[in-house]
Amino acid sequence: MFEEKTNQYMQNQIKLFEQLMKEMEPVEALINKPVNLLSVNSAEGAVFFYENKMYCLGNVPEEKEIKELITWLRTKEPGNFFQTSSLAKEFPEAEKYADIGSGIMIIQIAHDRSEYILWFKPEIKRKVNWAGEKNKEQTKQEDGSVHISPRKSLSKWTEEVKCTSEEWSNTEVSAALKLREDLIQVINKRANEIRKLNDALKAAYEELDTFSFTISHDLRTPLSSIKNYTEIILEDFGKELSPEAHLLFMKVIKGTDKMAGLIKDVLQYSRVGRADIRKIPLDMGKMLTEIKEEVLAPYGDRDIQISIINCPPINGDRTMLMQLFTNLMGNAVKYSPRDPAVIEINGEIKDDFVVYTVEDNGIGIDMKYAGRIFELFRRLDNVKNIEGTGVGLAIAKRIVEKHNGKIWLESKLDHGTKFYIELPVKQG
Amino acid sequence: MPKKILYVEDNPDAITFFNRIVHKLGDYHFKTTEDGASAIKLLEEEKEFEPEMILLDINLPGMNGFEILQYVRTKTTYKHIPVIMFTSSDDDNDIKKSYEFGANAYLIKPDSLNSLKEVLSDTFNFWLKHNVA
Repeated sequence: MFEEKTNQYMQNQIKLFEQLMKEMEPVEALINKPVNLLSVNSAEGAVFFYENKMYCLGNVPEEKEIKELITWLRTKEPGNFFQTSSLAKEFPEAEKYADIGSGIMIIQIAHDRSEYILWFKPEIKRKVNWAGEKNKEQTKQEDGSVHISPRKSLSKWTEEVKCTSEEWSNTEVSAALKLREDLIQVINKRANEIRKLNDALKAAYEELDTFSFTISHDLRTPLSSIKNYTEIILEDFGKELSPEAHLLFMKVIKGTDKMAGLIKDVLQYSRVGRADIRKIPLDMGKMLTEIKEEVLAPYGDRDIQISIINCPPINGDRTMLMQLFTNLMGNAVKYSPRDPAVIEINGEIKDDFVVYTVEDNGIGIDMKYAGRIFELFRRLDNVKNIEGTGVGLAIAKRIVEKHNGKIWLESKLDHGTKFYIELPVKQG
Repeated sequence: MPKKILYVEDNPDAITFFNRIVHKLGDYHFKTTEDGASAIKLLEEEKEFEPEMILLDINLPGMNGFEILQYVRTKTTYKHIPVIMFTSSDDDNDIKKSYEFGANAYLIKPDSLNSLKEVLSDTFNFWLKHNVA
């Protein structure tokens, strides 16, 4: 009987390893299968802590109790492995759940992470036959020559096994340790694959940025030739051209201007992706005032009020943050066509972050599409009549991400939009 | 005496536009070469054509604009010649590099002929006058 079980545990351990290799997803392989963590020993409950989540099988203590147990274990056992068949003796709090976990076995998967597997065995009294002959004998031996009644001896034995589980056999321990090795192997393999994927993705992004950079660059020259030759036609032969032909050539020029604008934006976008970030403490008041003047310059005839309120310094890349706030402030003006346009820029330090807001009273953004407006070339329906390339906010998002920050917005159609930029205060 | 200008540019269209504008601007004698090697050859061999200003495109076949700039700056004979980078790139790194290597100015090619005329006229007036004095 014992040997049969032992063989079963060993076979199941091999099966677990196969599942791990096949699934490459530890939770799937160890929990969600007929052969699982409970198949490699006689424990009645198992817990798997993995990537900050807890997965349970069978009878296990409350989550809070398990967490306390782990905290205690950390202070007690620096090693990768721990087992006992009488947990409450060492950790009195465990008495509460003696019926579930009098015996425990724990393996820690990685030192630097809180990743564990725990097995629980119940108190033995529930499992054994009280009136067993063998037990009576054992009691006798311990009591020596004293004559005792069977009933008394039975109560004595019960006392002894309180908060004690069946022992962890060598096979069970060895299966647990083998499982630990298997798991580490799979986790490392998985990490390597993710890393490889990550590298490939990064390379692809870089390639894309380089590609868009080169192509935009190369597009500029012929585009400006088209424009300049058209200008020459108009200048040298304008008098011979019909008004219609003149108009058409003007449209060619307008088209090249639009395309040049787009190329300029795409270049900027890929440039942000390629550029190394150079963080320095920035005087935001000065920068924002400069940007304000620049943004307002083309709108001389409009009533636009831009107020810059608090300007806590930002640790950031000067060029990039200039660009970020130029884009946001430029958008605020551009998409607030009613006079007076009221725009407010404010900054605030919140714990370890600095949060800037750029608020306008413009046409607003349908919040249904709020998640998409940072996508490249994305423009919403209500701005069809306002010129733009759909790159400005994509650049803004890239810049914020380069600074490990966040950008989001609140908006109401026909009322206005408020953009939030949150950047970490600390350098790095 | 017309002022001599060397313009290194590989794009024939750009040279056409340049030509068209420059002859309206004043009495200039300019030569163009389409790459760095022939620019250096011209500087070394045609001593009677010592330019009073050099305009350099950056993206060129063979030596790029920076390399030509470095060459000019290391030769005592040419050190004093104003070198103007003349390119469609508005990349910060290109601008920074140009000044580090000793360019006198960095000119972004405007995309309309009128602006090009203004920009070139200003540049010629500023750098050629300084050079004469």
